[in-house]
Amino acid sequence: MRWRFIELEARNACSNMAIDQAVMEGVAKGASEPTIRFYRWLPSAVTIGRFQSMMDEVDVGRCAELGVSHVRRITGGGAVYHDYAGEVTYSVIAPEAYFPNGIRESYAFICDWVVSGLLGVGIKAKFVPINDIVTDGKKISGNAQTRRGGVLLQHGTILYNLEMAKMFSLLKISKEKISDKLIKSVEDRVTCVSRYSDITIDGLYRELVRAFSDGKDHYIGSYTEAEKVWGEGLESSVYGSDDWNFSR
Amino acid sequence: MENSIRYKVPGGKLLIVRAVWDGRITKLELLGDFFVHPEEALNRIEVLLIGTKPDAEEAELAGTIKQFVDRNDVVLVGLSPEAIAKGVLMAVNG
Repeated sequence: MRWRFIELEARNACSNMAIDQAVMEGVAKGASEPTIRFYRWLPSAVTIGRFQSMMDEVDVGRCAELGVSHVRRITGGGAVYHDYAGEVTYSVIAPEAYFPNGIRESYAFICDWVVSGLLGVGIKAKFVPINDIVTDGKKISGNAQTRRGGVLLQHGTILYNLEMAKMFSLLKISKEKISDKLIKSVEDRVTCVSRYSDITIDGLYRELVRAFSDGKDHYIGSYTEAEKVWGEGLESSVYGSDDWNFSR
Repeated sequence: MENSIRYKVPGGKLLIVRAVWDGRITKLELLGDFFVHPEEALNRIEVLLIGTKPDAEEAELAGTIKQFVDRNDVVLVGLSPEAIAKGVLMAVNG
């Protein structure tokens, strides 16, 4: 199987989610090739999981004040603040048959590529089910997955730098989540690449490309016209709509 | 009556249940950071639980949800039929 790699790009939150879905549907129809894309969020954004409530999880008023977007993902999982300068995000989109059958096994399979990329910048990390990658007991990457039409989409973030104060002002962190992990503060459970390495964000991206492409037949490509058109449609009709973003 | 509860699934994710009931559940929302494959199945589970009485047996309710999950090849991650049953009954008995 040959993979198409899309080089690091910056898009707004709705566009990032829309192009993921457009490619996923393209792969399902056999019109798009298996794809790995890397991206950033411009402007910075908050995403929530498919089953979360925007009003419960996000201070949308504060988002507006700071020029931060907010969008509901197609995938489950929790709320995430995506800082433009603070992370590299990836999406892996390919037929389910390429991956191990089980949900947890397929998370581990793809997360191993992230772990390898982190090792390339000198950070020893490991996959911790259900969907985290952890170093020194602290989360450095969060991942989320969906499957439809025989296609698996997993996207995830690799934290490069943390804007804790800004993140706390945008997300409404639940007390249950904190107490469950027997820690007193979210700051004790999240970390980032820049705390361990002097590498630039571009350097981190290059290491991730190396790790994700290792052993794969691949090429650097771009989106098809059909993906661009379908993605723009999804951006305006779904991800840019209150019906979707405030559906719960 | 209506109520909302937050239940941290042991070894799993956070489940928030919002229920409205009048003898039986008339409206139900299951929220949280869990995963459901396919995602559309969650709405069907919510519909399945409409009509549940507050004095329902937790194990029986969990069995009903498990039957739906198994029959429809639904995969719950960070969530379980037992957790949903517990959360729903916590909401209507809280």
